[in-house]
Amino acid sequence: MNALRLALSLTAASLWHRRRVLALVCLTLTLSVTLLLGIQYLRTEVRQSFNNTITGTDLIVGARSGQLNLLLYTVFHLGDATNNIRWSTYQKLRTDERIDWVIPLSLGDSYRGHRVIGTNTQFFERFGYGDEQSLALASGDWFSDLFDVVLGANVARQMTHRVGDRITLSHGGGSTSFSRHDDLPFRVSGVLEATGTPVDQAVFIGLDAMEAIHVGWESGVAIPGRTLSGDEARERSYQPDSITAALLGLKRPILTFQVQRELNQYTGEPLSAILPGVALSRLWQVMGQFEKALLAIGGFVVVTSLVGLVSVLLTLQAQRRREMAILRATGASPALIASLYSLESLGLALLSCLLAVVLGALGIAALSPWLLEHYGLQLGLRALNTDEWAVLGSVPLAALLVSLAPAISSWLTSRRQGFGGFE
Amino acid sequence: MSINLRLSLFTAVSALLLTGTAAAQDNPAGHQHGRAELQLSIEETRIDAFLLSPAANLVGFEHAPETDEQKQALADLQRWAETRPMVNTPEGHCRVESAEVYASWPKKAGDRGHDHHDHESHGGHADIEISQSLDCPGLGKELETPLTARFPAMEHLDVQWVGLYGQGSRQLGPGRNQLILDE
Repeated sequence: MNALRLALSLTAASLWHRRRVLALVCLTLTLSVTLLLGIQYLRTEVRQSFNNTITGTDLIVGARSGQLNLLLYTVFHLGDATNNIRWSTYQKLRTDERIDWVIPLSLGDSYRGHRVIGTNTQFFERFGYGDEQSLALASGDWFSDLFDVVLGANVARQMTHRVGDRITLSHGGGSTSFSRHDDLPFRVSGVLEATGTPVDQAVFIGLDAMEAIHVGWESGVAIPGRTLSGDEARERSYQPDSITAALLGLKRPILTFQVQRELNQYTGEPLSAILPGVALSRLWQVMGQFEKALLAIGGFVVVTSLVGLVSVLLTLQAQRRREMAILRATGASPALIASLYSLESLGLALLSCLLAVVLGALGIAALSPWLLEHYGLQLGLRALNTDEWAVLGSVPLAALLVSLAPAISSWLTSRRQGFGGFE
Repeated sequence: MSINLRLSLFTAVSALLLTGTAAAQDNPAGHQHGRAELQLSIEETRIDAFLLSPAANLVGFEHAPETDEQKQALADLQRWAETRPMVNTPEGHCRVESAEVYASWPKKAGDRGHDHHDHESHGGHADIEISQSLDCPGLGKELETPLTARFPAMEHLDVQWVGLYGQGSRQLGPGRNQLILDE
């Protein structure tokens, strides 16, 4: 017990004595551990946020295509639909007894590069994300007039729009479209709260409004004199011929595969029904390769820092011959002298880990509002999980291992060394 | 999710967009030896398991059984499906409550419409469907499947599940037989 106490007090004194050199080593190690821990933390958070992009929806139905394609254009607003599905199919889905709710989605137009989604109130009431959270309005209301539009949080922020602003949608995708629906401007009726999902990047209008703005359009061009004015448009009723896709919620999720099989074999038209949770996990398996590569790079940075640590310890060893000789002369055993190196190395690694956790937590706390605002990434502080503890625990262990090199060599030297003698 | 992340995600997966969906009315279903699909619907302690696999993976041939050996192989499969759950808890608590095996043997010339087991024919290929209703007391997050060990020809088993912990999927193969439902 006394030997341990002696070793610890000697270690502390030695670390303090060499604080200037070791502070730099400690800084390098802290930064590399912060990087590794940060990557691991972000990996878990991004995966969580990715998997929770859409929840509560049992099936997504669209025209026949691959499941990733369907997922990308309906949920992530990336890429385009291969085909549409008929209105009659949508009506049939609504009357199916096993299906609790149907959210229609109609895509095709854009607002300054943001996807315009034609839908109905079901979207606002039923769409779920995160941990079964529903959409909420930060200000205003969901549509009440035909030409009302609800903006995702990022769209409103980027374009500095508020409730009551008038906006003009563009025909087709792309931020510089020349075909604009400028004869029928929309009024911003509401702005959604930030969700950290692609909903933040979208612009929502009613299905009937989507129809109304395309009356009198042929081959992607408005025919003069045939388009409607705002009041004319409000007097008419609209029934779309088709929608792009539909999100379904079932009364009993256990029937998901059964309904999926039936929809995939639907005789009315070729359909694809996909399970969003399954498609998301497929997509993540593709993405997963990148995150593993990132983690490996983080690991290499830590290894480099540890090599730096050992090189500093070995350099110091050369300077500490006299000190070790004095310790030997005062009765210190070779084991005690060897343990000094290991304890110093372990102490430095533990300190670095502690600083890395503090630095990481401060970094996340400081950056999370900015990340949510600019990248739509919701990142919160939470307790470390087992994987992160394992990453953190491996650093002192690795430091202890690399310290064995100077420790063993000093142990051998001390045994050879006579009391007070110099080689 | 950031635009950059979404774009890189898009590039990353655009090569994989051809991943097909399940059987369709107007397109013949995919059929690839070595691959199989297992769907699990989980409600409380009940699991409905549905396996769709090329017959070659399960019995080694893709036509109506002709020799005694082939008939025996099919009978063995039937017995196996009635007694052994296709997924089980790590403690092995699942029991098969009911099981059905359907084979879709290709039709021979002049033999149309007589085989009531004939679900869908694939011109020289055949699929076998196994559906099981399982009761699994003490069902947790972890499940195991004996399929890839029992049928070594099944090199890729694509498992999908719904219920209890939401939806998810995992690719299993030889030596990889575990599922974690909330992963």
